[in-house]
Amino acid sequence: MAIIRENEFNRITAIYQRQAEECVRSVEIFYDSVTDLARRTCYAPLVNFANQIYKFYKEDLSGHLQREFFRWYNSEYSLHALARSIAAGNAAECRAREHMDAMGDCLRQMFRRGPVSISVDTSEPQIQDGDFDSFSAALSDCVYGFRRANEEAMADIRAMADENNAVECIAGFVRTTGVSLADSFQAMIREVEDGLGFFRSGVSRTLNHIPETGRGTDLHLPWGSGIPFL
Amino acid sequence: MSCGNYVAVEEVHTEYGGDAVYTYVTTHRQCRLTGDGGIPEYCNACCEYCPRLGGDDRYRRADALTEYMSAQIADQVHEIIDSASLAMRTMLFQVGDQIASSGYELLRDCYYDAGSRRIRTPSVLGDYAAIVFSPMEKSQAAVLERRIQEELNSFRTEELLPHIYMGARYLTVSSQDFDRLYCTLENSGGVTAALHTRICPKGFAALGAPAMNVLQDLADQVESYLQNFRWSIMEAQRQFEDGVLRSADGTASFGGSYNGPIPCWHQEI
Repeated sequence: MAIIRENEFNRITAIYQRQAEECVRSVEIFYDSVTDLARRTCYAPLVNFANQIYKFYKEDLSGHLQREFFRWYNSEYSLHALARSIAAGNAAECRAREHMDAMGDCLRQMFRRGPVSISVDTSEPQIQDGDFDSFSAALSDCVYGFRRANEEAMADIRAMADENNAVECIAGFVRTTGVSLADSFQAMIREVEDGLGFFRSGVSRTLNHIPETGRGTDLHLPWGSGIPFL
Repeated sequence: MSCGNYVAVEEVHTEYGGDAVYTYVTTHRQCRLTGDGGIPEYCNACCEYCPRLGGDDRYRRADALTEYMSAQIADQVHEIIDSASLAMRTMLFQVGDQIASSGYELLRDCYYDAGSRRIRTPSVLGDYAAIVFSPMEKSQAAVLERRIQEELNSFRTEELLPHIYMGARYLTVSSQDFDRLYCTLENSGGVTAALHTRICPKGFAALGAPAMNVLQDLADQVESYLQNFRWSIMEAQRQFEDGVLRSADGTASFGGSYNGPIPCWHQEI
């Protein structure tokens, strides 16, 4: 890039790429866990939620980060705008633009990869409380992975910024990437807790409707009303 | 043969002999150039004894501001200017190299600006006229002054600054590069040290003084020139760092966390 030495920019790109790869790896691990869980439980709300997360990751988060990236790209704070503002010359400005394009490619690659949606026969679900905990744990591990990747990337950038403060110009977007991923996945943990709540209340409601006499009944309750598939 | 530079100085001596007091008045000659005195009136070749001229039989007389001495001074000036030019060229070469490798056009402009600015060479005309007297001396002084002036004129910045080629596409400058540039410019000590070399003509030290004065003046001009160069680099650094800081702050304000909707757990299908 324009203001940062070529080898420094390569290091920065490598840092961003490493963060992206670690985030993708976290998502893949999360999705592997959730896929196993979905196959084991065959519980439609869980499968549906997992697939929503996948779609959310591929579309909403990707769109958000790409919009932010282009907002930065087209702003007066972009690297090429910086090259212009410090009178670095046309060649440097073009080079800065190339570097930003490389970062944009890296971002797109991050969302091109990743798991495929889960397809499971949910006609015979089997789920219990612990499965929700497993789902939450998988999300927590994923959030931890995002945060750790981001902290490592930011630490690397800070170390470089001690030598050249121009590196800080990139730090903002690196942070945005990590924080957006981590915060949104963190928020989903609450959704799983809500799911567990729905599940438990459904189970309680159903159990309360079972006649105490224990006489034979036809349990033809609709799906989603909290049948305990134990 | 006297040099004509002496003036008569009367001295009164008092001696005591018993009850009598004897007073004598003695006239001495004092050299106007050197201030040396004590030369008896009857000595009509005072300069043969002048301590500033001693040693060389050929040039013991005061009218000996000869071609030899002029050449001696001019040669020394030449050596000094040559040495200062080399030091200056070496330093500016390093500066040019650092600027070229930075790839920063703003610094390149500073460098070219510095190349287009002349170091004002001091004038020596008339300096020697004040300390020489005879027509022959004045003629020699004029020759000496011309030679010194030529030497000074050879100290041209446009010849000292090598051309730099900014071939790299990359701007690779960082704040540390500016520090390195200042550090290189600080090495101008070698230039000014050369210019402060004492001019010591054999025989008549006073003749070295005007040459030393112009070299001192030149050293001041070099210092002023380099100071301007340093300021223009500082201005470039200010623009660079302001831009970087502004950009870093601006970028930090971008993005932030994702605030849109997130997937919800739908119990009902």
